[in-house]
Amino acid sequence: MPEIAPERWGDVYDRAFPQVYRALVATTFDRDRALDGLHDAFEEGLRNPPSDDRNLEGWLYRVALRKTRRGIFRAQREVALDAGSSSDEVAAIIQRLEVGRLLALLTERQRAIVVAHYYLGLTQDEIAEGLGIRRGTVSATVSQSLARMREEGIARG
Amino acid sequence: MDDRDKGLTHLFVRDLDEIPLPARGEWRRMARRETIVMRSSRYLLAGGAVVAVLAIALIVGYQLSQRQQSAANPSASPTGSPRETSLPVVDPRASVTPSAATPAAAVSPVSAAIYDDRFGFLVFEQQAGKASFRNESSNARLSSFEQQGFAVSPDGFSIAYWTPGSGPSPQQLRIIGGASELTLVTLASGQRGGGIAWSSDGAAVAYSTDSGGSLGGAANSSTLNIYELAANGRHGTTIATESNTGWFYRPIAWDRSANIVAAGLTGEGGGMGFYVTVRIEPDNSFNLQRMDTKSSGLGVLMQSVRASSDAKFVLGVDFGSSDIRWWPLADYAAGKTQSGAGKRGALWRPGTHEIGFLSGEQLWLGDVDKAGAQGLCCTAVSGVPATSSLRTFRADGSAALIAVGSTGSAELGDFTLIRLGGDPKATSGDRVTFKELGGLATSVRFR
Repeated sequence: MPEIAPERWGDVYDRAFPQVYRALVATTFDRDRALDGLHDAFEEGLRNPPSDDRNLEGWLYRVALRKTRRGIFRAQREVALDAGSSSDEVAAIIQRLEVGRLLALLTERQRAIVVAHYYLGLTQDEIAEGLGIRRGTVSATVSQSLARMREEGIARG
Repeated sequence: MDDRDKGLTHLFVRDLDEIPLPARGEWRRMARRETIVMRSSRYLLAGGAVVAVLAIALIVGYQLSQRQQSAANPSASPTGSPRETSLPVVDPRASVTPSAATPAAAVSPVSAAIYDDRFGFLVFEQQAGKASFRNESSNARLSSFEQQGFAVSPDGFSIAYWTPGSGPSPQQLRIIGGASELTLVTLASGQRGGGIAWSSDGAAVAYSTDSGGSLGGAANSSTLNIYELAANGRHGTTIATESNTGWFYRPIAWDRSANIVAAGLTGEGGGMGFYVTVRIEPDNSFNLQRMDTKSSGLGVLMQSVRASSDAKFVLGVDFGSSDIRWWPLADYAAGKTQSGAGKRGALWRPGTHEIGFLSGEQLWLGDVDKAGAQGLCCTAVSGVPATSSLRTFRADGSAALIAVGSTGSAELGDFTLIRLGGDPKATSGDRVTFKELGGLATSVRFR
C-alpha cells in the first residue's frame, strides 16, 4: 500500500481535523494542548505519513495524543475542567454538554480511551495498539469508565 | 465485532460535535514549513543525490524552526386507548422499592422549613436509562422506570417518555405517574424516538420520530407529531415531515390556547438550524412557518432550548457567544438577547416568565415581561457558590436546585435547594444541602 503523498497530506489532514480536534479537546479539556498535538501530528505526517488514509482519524488521534501526553499515560496528571482549561469558551461549552459533564468524572487516561472508542469509533484492539497498552487494559478501562459515568447518570434527559 | 453501545455512541457524537472548531487558519501551525517539506519530497522523488542532501538540510532546518516556534506560541402507530381520560400522576405510595444503597439527604436544622414532600426528584440510577423518583425530605427511592428521553408535564405531575426499545421491542411513547402508565404510541421498526414536549394545558404532547441514516446523515426522515389525550382527539397525527436533508425535528412547546406547536430542526452540529411553528387551523389543516436561525451568528444550541410552562416564550443559549436569547413562541424574529458573559445556565422558573441563571455568587431571576433595553430586569439571591450550576426549579417554581460539585459537573457532588417564595423580591434564600443526590434529572410533583 503506497504512503499518502505529501501533496495529498494537507487535504486528508483537513478532512480529519474537525473530528480529531474535538476528540482531543474532550480528552484534554484544553484547546491549546489539542491544537498543539494536532500541529505536531500534521508535521509528523509530512515526515512519516501513514501507509494509507483508512482510519486516518485514529492515526492522527494517536499521534497527537502522544505529542500532547506530557504525562497522560505516565504521571496521569489531572486537568480540572474549569481550572486547567486554556479556553473559557471551550470549557463553558463542554460543561453544557451531557457527555462533557460525565467525562469530567474520569481521569484523562480514561477519557482518552473512552473518547477513542465511542466518538472516533476505534476498536479496543486499535486503541491498545495505538496507545501501546494491553487490550485487557483498554477493556477494563472502558468498563470502569462506563460504570463511573452510569453511576452519575449517563441516561439521556 | 462492534462492542460499542449504539446509544452511547450516538450520545458522544451528538454532544462532542458541538465543540466549536478553531478558525481555519489555525488548523496548521505553519504553511511555510509544509511547503518546504512538500517541495523537498518532490525533489527526493526526482532522485538526485544533491537534491537529497538539500532535502535533509531542509528537514533539519525545519526541525530547528519547529522548536523555535514551539517556544514562541415510517409512521408510528398510536396505541393509546382513547378511553383513557385521566393521566397517570406521580404517586410516591404507589410503588415503593426502598434500597439500602439509596443515600440519605443531609438534614440540616433548617431543612424542615424547606423540604416539601408534595414534591420530589427524578434521578438517574446507575443502570443506564433507569430513572427513579425520590421525595425531597428523605431522598429515598420510591419507584423507577427505564427511559430514553422524557418531558415533565407543566404541572409536574406526569412524565411522558420514550422506552429504550432494545432488540425486537420497538420504542414506545408512554406517560408515567408512580405505578400507573399509559402507552400512547408504538414506533414502527427502524424508527427512533426523538424529542417530547407537553402542551401548555397538559392535555396533549408533541413528539418527533427519526428514521433512516444516523444523525447528520443525508438519508433520513424526521416527523413532528401530536397526540391529544382526549378520547376524541388526534392520536399520533403527523403535522410536519423532513426528508433527506440531515435535519431532525425536536419539539419545543405547544401553546394550546393559540394552537401553535413549535419545534427546532437540528443537525450534526447540535445547533438549531431552523425554528418551525405549525399552526393547527380550525379546518384541521396545518400551517407551517420556518425561520432560518443560522443567519444571525452561530444560532442557538438545541439542547438549551426550553419553553416557559405556559408555552408563551422560548429561550435558548447562543452557540458561540453563550448569550441568552428569548422570543415569543410564534415569532422568533421578535426575540431579545441578554449577554451570556459570566452567566451559568438559563432555565424558565415554572409558572412564571422569569429566566433563572447564576452569575458570580448570585442566583438571578429575570422577568422577560419586564425586560427593557438594558436586558432582563432581575432580582437575586446571594450566597450561591461561584462554581455551582443551576440544575432545575421545583416543579411549581417555589425553589431552585443548585449543583455545588467542586468540578463544576452537574452530576457530581452536592445539591442545594433554595426556597424562593412567591414573590422573588421577598425571596428568603433559605436553603438545605443534599449529599450525593445522584444524577439529578428534574423536579416532579406528587399527588
